[in-house]
Amino acid sequence: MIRWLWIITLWFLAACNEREMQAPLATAVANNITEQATALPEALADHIKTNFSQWHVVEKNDYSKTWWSFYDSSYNPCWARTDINDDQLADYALWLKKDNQLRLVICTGTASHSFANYTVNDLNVPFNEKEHNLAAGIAVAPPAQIDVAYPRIQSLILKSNGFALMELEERTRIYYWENGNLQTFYTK
Amino acid sequence: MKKKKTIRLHRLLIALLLFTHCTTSKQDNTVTDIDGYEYRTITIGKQIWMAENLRVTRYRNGDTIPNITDTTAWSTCTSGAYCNYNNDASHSTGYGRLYNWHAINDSRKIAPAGWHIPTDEEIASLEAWLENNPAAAGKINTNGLGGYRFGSGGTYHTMGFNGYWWSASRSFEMYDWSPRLFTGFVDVQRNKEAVTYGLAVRCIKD
Repeated sequence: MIRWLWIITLWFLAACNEREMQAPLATAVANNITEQATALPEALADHIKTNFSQWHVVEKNDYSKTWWSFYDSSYNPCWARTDINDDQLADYALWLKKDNQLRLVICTGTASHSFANYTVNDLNVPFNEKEHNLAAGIAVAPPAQIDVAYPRIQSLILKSNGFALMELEERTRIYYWENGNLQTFYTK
Repeated sequence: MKKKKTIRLHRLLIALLLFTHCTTSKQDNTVTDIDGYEYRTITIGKQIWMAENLRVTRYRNGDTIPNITDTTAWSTCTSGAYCNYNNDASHSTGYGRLYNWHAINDSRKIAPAGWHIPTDEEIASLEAWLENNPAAAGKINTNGLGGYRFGSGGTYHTMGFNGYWWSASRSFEMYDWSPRLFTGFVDVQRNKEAVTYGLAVRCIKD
């Protein structure tokens, strides 16, 4: 009888220990979820459909072999997401294509779950859908001091996030928000 | 009669054993600061980190850390200070508070007893660990991306998208678009003006 009592007790203690060891693991698994946007939100997809009829977001296979010789395939150069105007709403920069036309659009989020558009007009990036020759991507430019020597010595103190235009490995422009408007900083 | 007594004695011993086991073996997964704010902790590799940004308003000895809301006062401050993002205290619940370098470097210590501001070596170790375990980035950036306060001008930026924390001599940062850990946005050894930046704090266990 006494022997059984002790066996059951030891079994309880062992089980109890196991549970203690499993608890932090369970927390770790729950914390492992890194929420990085991998798809455009539906509201933005609808917004593009409405405001840029017949235009579509470019795809990774629109990019040239040369492009992918510079970058890992996990990098998505087709669009980028961050907050450029410190309103704590997601803003997006996207390459849109229609036939062989290409357009860079920056959509800033609004409090009403909609977007405001800014089309970048001073770009001339070659694009031929059949040739898969796209060689310019978009990336997030986090806050930093950006110093440029050419074409002239200049600095940008980027306090909020911006979007960087990448022409192959070269960051040639920064699109950022200042004084209520989208601004461009030329780094080439 | 004697047998019954023996059984009773064994029952008592077992009850005592179970009681002491349950009260001493419970793992402590939280840490409490001098203000009474409790923080969850997480194990990353071999390090134990706070899972939330620091909210404390007093040094370890009980001295008050001033809350500076004024932009000029923040930019010119030469002693320890903290602020809430956009001077809105409600943000401190989710993202903690932002501290200048003087508060980090103060000998009265900002970290709870038994904890410290991570050293650059500990950050390097975390960086290496995250490179091999990118899925674990969420352990750091969940409730961590509380933005920063710009040193010169005292303006607030990037809440919800970027997280900046003090290490012993510079910053380490994470962005919502990457599982990687970056360093050097603010470096007080290279740039003396960086001491007025307001960044968050994650402490690591001694």
